[in-house]
Amino acid sequence: MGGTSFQFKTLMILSFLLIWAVVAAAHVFYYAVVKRDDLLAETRKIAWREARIPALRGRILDRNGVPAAWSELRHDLVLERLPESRKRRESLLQRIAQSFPETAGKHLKPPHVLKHALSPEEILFYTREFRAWQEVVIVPLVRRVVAGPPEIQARIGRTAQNNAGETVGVSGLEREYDLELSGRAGRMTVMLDRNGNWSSDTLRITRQPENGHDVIADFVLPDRQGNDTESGNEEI
Amino acid sequence: MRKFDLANPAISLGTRSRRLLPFAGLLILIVAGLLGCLSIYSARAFAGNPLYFALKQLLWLGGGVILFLCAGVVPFSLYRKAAPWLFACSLASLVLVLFFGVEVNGMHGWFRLWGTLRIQPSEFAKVFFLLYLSVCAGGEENQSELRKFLIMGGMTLLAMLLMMLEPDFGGALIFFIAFLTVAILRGARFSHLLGALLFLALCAAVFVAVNDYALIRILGYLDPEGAYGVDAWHIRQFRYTMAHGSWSGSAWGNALWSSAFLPLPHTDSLFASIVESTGFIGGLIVIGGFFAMGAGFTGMSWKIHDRAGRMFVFGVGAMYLAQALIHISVNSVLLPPTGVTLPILSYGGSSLLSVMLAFGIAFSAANEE
Repeated sequence: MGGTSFQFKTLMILSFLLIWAVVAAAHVFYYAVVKRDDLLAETRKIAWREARIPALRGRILDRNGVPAAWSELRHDLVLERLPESRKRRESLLQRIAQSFPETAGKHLKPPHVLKHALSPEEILFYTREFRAWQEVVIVPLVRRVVAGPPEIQARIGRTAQNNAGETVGVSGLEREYDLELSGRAGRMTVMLDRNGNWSSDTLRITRQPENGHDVIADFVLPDRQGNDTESGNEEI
Repeated sequence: MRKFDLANPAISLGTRSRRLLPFAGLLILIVAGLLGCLSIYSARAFAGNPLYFALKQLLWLGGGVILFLCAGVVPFSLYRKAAPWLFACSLASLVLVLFFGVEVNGMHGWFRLWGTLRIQPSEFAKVFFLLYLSVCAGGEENQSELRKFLIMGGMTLLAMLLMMLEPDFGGALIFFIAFLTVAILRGARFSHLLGALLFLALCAAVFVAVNDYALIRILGYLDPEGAYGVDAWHIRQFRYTMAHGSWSGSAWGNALWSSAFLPLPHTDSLFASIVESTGFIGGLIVIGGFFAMGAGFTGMSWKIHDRAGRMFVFGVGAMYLAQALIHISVNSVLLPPTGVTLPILSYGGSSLLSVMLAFGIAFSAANEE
């Protein structure tokens, strides 16, 4: 094998590899530049979600400004469903049993609340712990708390959630002053990863929520000893 | 140590530049390795512990530099003598890994050393296989061309068979490319090469017939929106990831889609992740860089007179350039998905160390002249 022959053969192989490299580069150009807009539109549909940020419902205060009804946000850790694959299902139940030993060996029927009222630290902890399991989710819940004796609670009335997940007044003062109490929900966009988890640093608030206004009622809440408190506020 | 010869400066300078060659090569490798660490970090920036893989790769790079220097110091004549034994040991390791290895990502190709430390013998087997083929092809001339071709082909078949049992068709393909390169350099007849290619096609058909996942991947590749579209997940993610790159990318450390959707963004899908971070221009630089590497090894091989040495040096450049092109082609949806890493840049100790070893031996061959 002479030097010239060797050089010719190496150039031949190198030329083939050069053509291959050019074709590969053309493919990269096609997807990164030419088809970019179409593909990005598809990714927006797949991964980006727009969601509402519920506005905090206003409080109902008594004549002295003592809260008689207010909303509390709480987060529960919920097993929403079980994986279809047996191997994955067993693996998830084993993982849950590690974090919650009381569930070991029990038949969990979804939806099952694994832990109520998570603290902020617990929210971060369980988000990390169950990152790979889209079946386990942290569900935010808004609870309306009403204080006072039954006659005042009846006066305040009740709330319920409509189909859009908004809290609306269905009776009493809650219904009468629903417009003032409701506020306006905000909007946000976020990217989800392949497991359905939020991708960190992708949350963008497109509209800030406007919380509902407080409403002052004409009644006075009894103190713990059962005495009425003095009033100095404007009545409604 | 030789002194600078004033009477014949050209020869002296040539010797000096040859001495400096491994260090220049090492510097390029270190820079490429560091770029690899950055790419790995960027690919996993939004996943958990992004520094974990990048720092581990940095450790492997340190080990790789030592291995490169050690391999470059050993005379090539020693490698020539040891080539059959090294190849035999590689084959033995490929057999043993089938029985005593651990499975990672569906492939039974790693030995567990201790803790999370694993070694992939096929990466080192590639190097010793190429060395063996080069020594075999560059050896004695008294054997007939067909006989030599059949010996080399038989060894290739054996190595490929073991790779396909893992199952790793991508790895087997690299072995075949090494064989084809050396066979062409040796001057194999066109009919023999054609026969080898037909044989490869037969191997691919058998592999696809035996492994359902391979058939589904090919069907998904041919028609990503069709009945097997669900299995074309990788292909669609490669497209989406590159689309996020555009011309100049979304900056280092901001490979969002790679972290969230791309499977194995720091190993088998690294090129797509680099394109997301650095755009088409960055991708072009990577392709150009690998081609420059291949061209550099070609130029180096032209200066070597020893047949085995020059075949090995050119073979190393061509084999790793081809491996890079397979990886890039898979990531740019030119080929169906196969698990092949991007040499030097992708995460993986075995991959990086074996490249450093191969380059060290190649520089040893170049320095022996």
